[in-house]
Amino acid sequence: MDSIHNTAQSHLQHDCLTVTLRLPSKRSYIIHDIIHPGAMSNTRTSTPLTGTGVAAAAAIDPADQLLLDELTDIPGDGDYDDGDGEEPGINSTQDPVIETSADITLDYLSVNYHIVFSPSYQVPVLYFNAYRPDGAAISLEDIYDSLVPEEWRGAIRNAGLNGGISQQDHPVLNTPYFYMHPCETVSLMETILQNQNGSSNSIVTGAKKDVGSITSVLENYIMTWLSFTGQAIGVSVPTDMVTASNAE
Amino acid sequence: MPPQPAQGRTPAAASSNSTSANPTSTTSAPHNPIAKVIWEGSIPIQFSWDKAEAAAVGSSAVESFFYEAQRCSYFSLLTSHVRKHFVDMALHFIGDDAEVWYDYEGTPLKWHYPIGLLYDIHGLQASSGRGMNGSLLPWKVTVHFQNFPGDKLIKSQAVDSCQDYFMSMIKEADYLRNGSTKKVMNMSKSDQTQLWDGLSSNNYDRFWGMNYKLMQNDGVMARNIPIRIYLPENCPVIQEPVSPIDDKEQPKTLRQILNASLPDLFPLVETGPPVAAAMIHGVIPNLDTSAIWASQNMSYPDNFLHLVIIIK
Repeated sequence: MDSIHNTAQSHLQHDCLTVTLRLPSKRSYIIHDIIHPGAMSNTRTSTPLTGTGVAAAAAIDPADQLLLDELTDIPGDGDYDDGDGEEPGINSTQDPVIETSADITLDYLSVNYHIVFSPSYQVPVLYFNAYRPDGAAISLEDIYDSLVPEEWRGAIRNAGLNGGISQQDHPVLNTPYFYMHPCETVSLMETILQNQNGSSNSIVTGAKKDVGSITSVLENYIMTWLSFTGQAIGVSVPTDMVTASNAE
Repeated sequence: MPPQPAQGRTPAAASSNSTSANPTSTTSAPHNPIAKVIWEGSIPIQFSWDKAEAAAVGSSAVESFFYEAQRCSYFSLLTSHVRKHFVDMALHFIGDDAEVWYDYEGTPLKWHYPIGLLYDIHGLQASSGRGMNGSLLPWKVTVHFQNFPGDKLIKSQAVDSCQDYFMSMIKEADYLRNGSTKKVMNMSKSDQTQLWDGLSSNNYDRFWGMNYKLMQNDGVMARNIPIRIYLPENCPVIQEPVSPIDDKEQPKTLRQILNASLPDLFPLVETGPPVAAAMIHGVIPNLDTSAIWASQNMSYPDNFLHLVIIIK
C-alpha cells in the first residue's frame, strides 16, 4: 500500500484521512480509507471492509480520482448484497467507467468523506460531498433528507448559529465541500474521553510519550470521534474496525 | 445610457438609514484613523454581462454597470443592484439573485471573500505574477445569471448565506483568540446582528462600536492571531495558529509570522532584494509591523488578517 500512501501524501498534503462511501438506499459501507502517515503512522492503510474499491467516475474530484486510479486494483470482498437487484455487475467490475455506463440505471449516492485537521479548532473535521450517479453534487437540503438520520435532523439544523452542516472551501482542495461544524468537537470529545478509563486519560494528557501509544491514542480518538460525528451524516463505523482498533 | 457615477457606498445603505438611526442599537466606535481609512477603502468595478448569456436573450449591447464598491464588502451585497441594472436594460429578463455569479478573466470569484481580498488575489497578485504593473481599474468583472459553477463556488450566494459565512468567520476568529467561541455566542442576537448590519449598511460606527469589543479582547492578549495567507496559483490557503508573542514575550512582527510559514519567501534577515511581499487591503505593510497591532487595526470585518503574497 505504499503507492497509495504516496498518492495520498502528494495530493492531500495536510494530515488528512479519506473515506469514500457509497450509499445504496439507506445503507452505507466503507470502500477504503487512507491515513496520512504523518498523522497516524503504522496504522491500517487501506481496508476494504465491505464492497468494492470503486466509485462512480463522474462523481469524483480530481484528487480523489488519482487516489482511485491507485485503488481500482483492490479486490472487493464480494459480500455486498444490494437486495433490490438494481445494480447488476457492480461487484465484478473493476472499471469505474464501465460501472457508470448508460445501460445500468442506478439509484445511489457516492459520498466522499475527508477527515481534515482544523488548525483553528485543533480537532478533526468531517468534510463531505455527495454525488448522484450523473456526477451532480446534491444540495444541503438533499443532504439532510438522504444522509442525516431522521432523528438527528432537528438537532443538527438547530445547532450553533447556522446549523451543524455548512458548506465551505475544502482546506486542501480549495473547492466547496460540506462539513460538520467543529466548534463543539472539543467539549464533546472531552466529555467522552473523561468517561473512558483512566489509562487512556493518562495517555491523552501525555503521560506516555512513546510513539506506539500515541498512535493508538490518535487512532482511538479518530474512531471515537468518527463514530459520534459520522453517524449524523451517514457514516457508520463497522464493528470490526473498532474491535481491531481496541485489540492493538 | 452613460456609465453611472461611482456611489461610494454599498447599496444596502440606501435602505438601512432607518436602522442606523435607531438610537437603542448604535454604539459609537472609538477613534481609530487606521481602521476608518481601511473601512473607507473602495474599488471602482465595471460589471459586464457575460457576452454569450446576454446574446442568448437578445441583449448583446447592454451597457456595463459601474460601481464603487467597499473593499470590506461582499459581492453578495451588490447582487440585487447589479441584477436590477441588467434587468432594467434587458426587457423580458428577470434573473435570480441566488443564481448570479461573477468571474474575473474566467476565474469564478468566491462570493464569501471580501471584495478587496478578491481584487488583491485575482487582480494585483495575478498581474504581478505576469510582470504587469499597469492599472487594473476599473476592475472588469463579468456577471453571469446562469450555469452557477457549483464545483467551484459555494452554492447560494444570497445575502443570508453571506451573513452566515461571515458569522462563522467571526466565531472562528473568536476561537483562535480565546480557545472558545463564548464571546460571540454570549453576545445577544441584536449585538450579533449589529456586526453584520453595520457592515452591510456601510455604517462604520455601528460595526466598530460592536467589533471593538471582540478585537480588543477585553484587554487580554489573544492566544492566537486569526490570520490567513494566500499564495498565488490557487494554492491551499495557509491558516495556522499563530501566537502573537515570541519566546521572549515580545510582540511578533509580520516578518516572524510569515517566516514561520514561508521561510524561503520571508527570511528573518534579508540578504538580498526581497523575493516576496505581503499585501493587506492593497497596500504593502512594513514587515517589522507588530502582528497583533496589524490584526487589531488592519483585519477585515470578519476579524481575520488576510495576507496576500506577492512574488516579486
